[in-house]
Amino acid sequence: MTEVLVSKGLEKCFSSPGRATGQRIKAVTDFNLVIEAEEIICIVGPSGCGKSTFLDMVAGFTEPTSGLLEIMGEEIHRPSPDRGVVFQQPVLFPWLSVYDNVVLGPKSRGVKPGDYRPEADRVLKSVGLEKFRDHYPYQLSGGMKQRAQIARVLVAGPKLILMDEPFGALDAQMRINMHELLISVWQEYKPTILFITHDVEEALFLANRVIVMSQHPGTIARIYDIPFERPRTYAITADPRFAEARAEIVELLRAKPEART
Amino acid sequence: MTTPYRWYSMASGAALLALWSVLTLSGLVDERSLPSPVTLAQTFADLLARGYSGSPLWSHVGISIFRALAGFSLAILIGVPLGLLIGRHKVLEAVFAPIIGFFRPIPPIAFITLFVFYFGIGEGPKIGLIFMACLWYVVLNSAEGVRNIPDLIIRAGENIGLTRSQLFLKVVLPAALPAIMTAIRAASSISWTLVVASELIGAQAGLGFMILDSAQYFNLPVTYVGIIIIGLIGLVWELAISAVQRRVLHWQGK
Ligand SMILES: Nc1ncnc2c1ncn2[C@@H]1O[C@H](COP(=O)(O)OP(=O)(O)OP(=O)(O)O)[C@@H](O)[C@H]1O
Ligand SMILES: [Mg+2]
Repeated sequence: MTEVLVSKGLEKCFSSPGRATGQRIKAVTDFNLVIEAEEIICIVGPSGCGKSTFLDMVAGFTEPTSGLLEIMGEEIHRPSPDRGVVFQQPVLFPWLSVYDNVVLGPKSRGVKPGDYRPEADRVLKSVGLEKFRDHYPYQLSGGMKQRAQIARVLVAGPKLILMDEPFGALDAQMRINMHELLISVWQEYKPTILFITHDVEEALFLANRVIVMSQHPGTIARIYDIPFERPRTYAITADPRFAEARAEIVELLRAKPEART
Repeated sequence: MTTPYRWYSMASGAALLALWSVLTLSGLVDERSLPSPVTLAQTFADLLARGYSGSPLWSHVGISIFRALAGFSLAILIGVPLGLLIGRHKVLEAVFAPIIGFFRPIPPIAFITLFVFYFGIGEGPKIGLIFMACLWYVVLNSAEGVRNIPDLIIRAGENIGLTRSQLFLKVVLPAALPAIMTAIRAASSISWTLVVASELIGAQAGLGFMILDSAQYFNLPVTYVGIIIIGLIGLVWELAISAVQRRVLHWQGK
């Protein structure tokens, strides 16, 4: 198996304005993880434990304080469509149609229209937006905006897709639709996905492995292998192994270790 | 404006016109202090035929529009890029903050005499004055527009692989466009106000000159016609700009 992402001894500190100068808080510390090709990895953890901080470093939005962070053997220093991000908020370019949102990246990188046009058509079809290609973001529902974001990421053929609570703002039914959509996209493109969520069930439904993070220190507490075959249906939520894993993770998240600084 | 309300606007306009006609034509108000609509129509026809002060009417109108447009366009051409840069670079913001902070609160009218003293009464000082007054608005609003762009949309642009210059042209500029359009609207009305004010001080032609000159010779109908022309042009200009604004910003979905 190819190692897509390698994180070794990764640490991120922020200077905290509230305290004396020089005082720094460790948002993420000693973070060790290897993500293999075609995996879906879900990270769950209490609010403020450093999930977004980790994802931002992988995206190249912020630099690690220390440690190693590599994508396909290359150190990460800046954002790249190789690591496409689906944001929690529907961050589309409101002045561009759905289609133009999707092709802005490839177009700007000098990809030929003959190459990006069929690719854009394909990803729009995959996310079910082929009929909305000429709509503007203000004309889309929340779920459709998230699908457009997924299309914008897919069109670049990313090595890793980063999703930070992408369905957190959607209602329960829409969230289920999006899970099914994401699984079908995975079946079609076999992307590697790093997915952050608050929702343990969402994590269990989507993931090959669920990473449970702790707060203070912001690091990996445990990793669960989720053995269900894909394509998964919601029937697996009735499986005793699913219920068992859910109970364990919920318990782990509840039992906060003593705060260390 | 939505259709049902349009009728109210038309009705209030018509009522004003009716009141004015009744007051003047019935003789309740002296024709010498407030000319009747009929007199103004005759005066307008007369101005069209014979011009004013040796120049045709259209040249007075034209020179005023030219001065306003020249100052306004220069302010947009220089102010928008400058504002975008200031909004994006903290150093530039720090450099320009005290300059703009000092000049902006001074009413531009206060500079008219100074401009005339230094630069005479040619086109330069008038256009310069309009340019200067509009510039602050355009610079400040554009800079503010850039500062208010959500971080996430910039991140989204970086994430899809845009270079720095692409990010500026394809994300920062369109994202700041609503604020820029607001600035353009404000600047357009400032420029029209100021052109008249500057022509009151030192000019041999223009609508401002026409109303001041005619008032000094107690030729009140010409003064009124001049004011009405100024108002109508301002109105048309404003409507044109909002039409452009709606077209350019159609993606706001309002
Ligand atoms: N730019 C920053 N400056 C200072 N502190 C920060 C910054 N970003 C995050 N932090 C701190 O780092 C810690 C981790 O934040 P992070 O946003 O990664 O949490 P999270 O796990 O994503 O939480 P949530 O589930 O609420 O999104 C928090 O204590 C937060 O206050
Ligand atoms: Mg977060």
